[in-house]
Amino acid sequence: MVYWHAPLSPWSKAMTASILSANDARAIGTWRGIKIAVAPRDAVTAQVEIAVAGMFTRELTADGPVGGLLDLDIAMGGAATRLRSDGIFRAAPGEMLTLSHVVPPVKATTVLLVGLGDPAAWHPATLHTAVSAAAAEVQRHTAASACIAPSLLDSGVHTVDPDGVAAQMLGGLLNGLAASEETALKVWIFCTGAAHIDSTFAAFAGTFAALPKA
Amino acid sequence: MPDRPAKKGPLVPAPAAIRILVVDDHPFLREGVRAVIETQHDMRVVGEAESGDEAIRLYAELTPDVVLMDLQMPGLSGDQAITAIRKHAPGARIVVLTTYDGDAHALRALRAGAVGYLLKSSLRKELLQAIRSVHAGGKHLDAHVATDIALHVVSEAPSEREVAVLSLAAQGNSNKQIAARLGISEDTVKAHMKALFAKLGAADRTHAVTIAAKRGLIEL
Repeated sequence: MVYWHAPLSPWSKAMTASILSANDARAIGTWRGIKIAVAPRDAVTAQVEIAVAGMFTRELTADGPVGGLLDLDIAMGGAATRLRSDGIFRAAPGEMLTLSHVVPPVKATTVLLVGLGDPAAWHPATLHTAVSAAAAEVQRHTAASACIAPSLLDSGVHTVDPDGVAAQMLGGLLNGLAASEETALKVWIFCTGAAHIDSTFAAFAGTFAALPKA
Repeated sequence: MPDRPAKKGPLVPAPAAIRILVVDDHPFLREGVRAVIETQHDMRVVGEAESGDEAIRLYAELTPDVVLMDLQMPGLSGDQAITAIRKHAPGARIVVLTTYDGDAHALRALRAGAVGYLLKSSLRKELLQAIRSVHAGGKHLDAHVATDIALHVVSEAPSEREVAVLSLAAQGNSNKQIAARLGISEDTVKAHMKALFAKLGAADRTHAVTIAAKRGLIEL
């Protein structure tokens, strides 16, 4: 596979810095010209072109989603949960639904729902499939910036190993990016709750540092 | 990738182009869509149909990767054509391209098996992205349409009988005439109308017809 990316122009560097700054993002590294970062944002608040949100077939919490996933659902008039209950989006592992022309309060112009399957059967490897599919889809949209909010805690999945999650999500991202030999993508952000930013950053930065250099 | 300059040099073999069938009763629309698609090296139009019936025949003949389907056409409607195509080809990837943004239209099409729903006012770039997304296995919806679906289904949907009553009212029939046409009493027609006003949030008969038409519950 020949992977192509243009050298970063001063304008691209400024744009990248601006996106990272607007999201209070902490960069963990650069992969083939794409700045990868962790930020205390979610699919509603992230200032990127495409906001990816993970969604299970159901929530483990009795009252449906909470946190950022609930905020996203409310911002779209209940569309996410309604489309799922109607079977239009089943949230099977790796299944994708693009919602274009998204309006405020969602900052992104496009929301991509990516399926995570049954929460009771959840495993960190599920995230590899989901992030890989999402990254490939973001490339198809020729977006310059994107984020992903896995929505684990928002769906009631609390048994989370930060290092395992980071490894699967990063692996999925690189796998998805490799699906295309060229890219318009400049910034990819992994979203996390503000309360978890330090531990999430440490997990992702450590995992990234251990990757073989391209 | 599209919308980028072609690169030189040895690369991975280019994937086969996405083969597209365009279904719309307006030749001008079909020509416009074809013109947009033919600017892309990774997709091509393999056929055009001007009715639902022709779409079913051409789908079987051409087995395109993606179908762009209008909803309102003479004869078989887009919804009916989607149902018929997917009955024989459950994996068919069909994107609705329509002027209708009503929730009922969208729900009918999506339940029939459409994997995308775009408005004809969509930008060229969005149409191309949607084609690539659905070809790769994804689904694509205009968020405005998705939100409309969510907002309206929260309220109770009108029954089939209530929709029939309203359709006749929209044609100018009085309650007495509607009762005679449907073989029910005039009081029952009034009860259906009252229930419709509540479900649609309508103030009167005209308002109910307007709302129902906009949402795609009835055709005018």
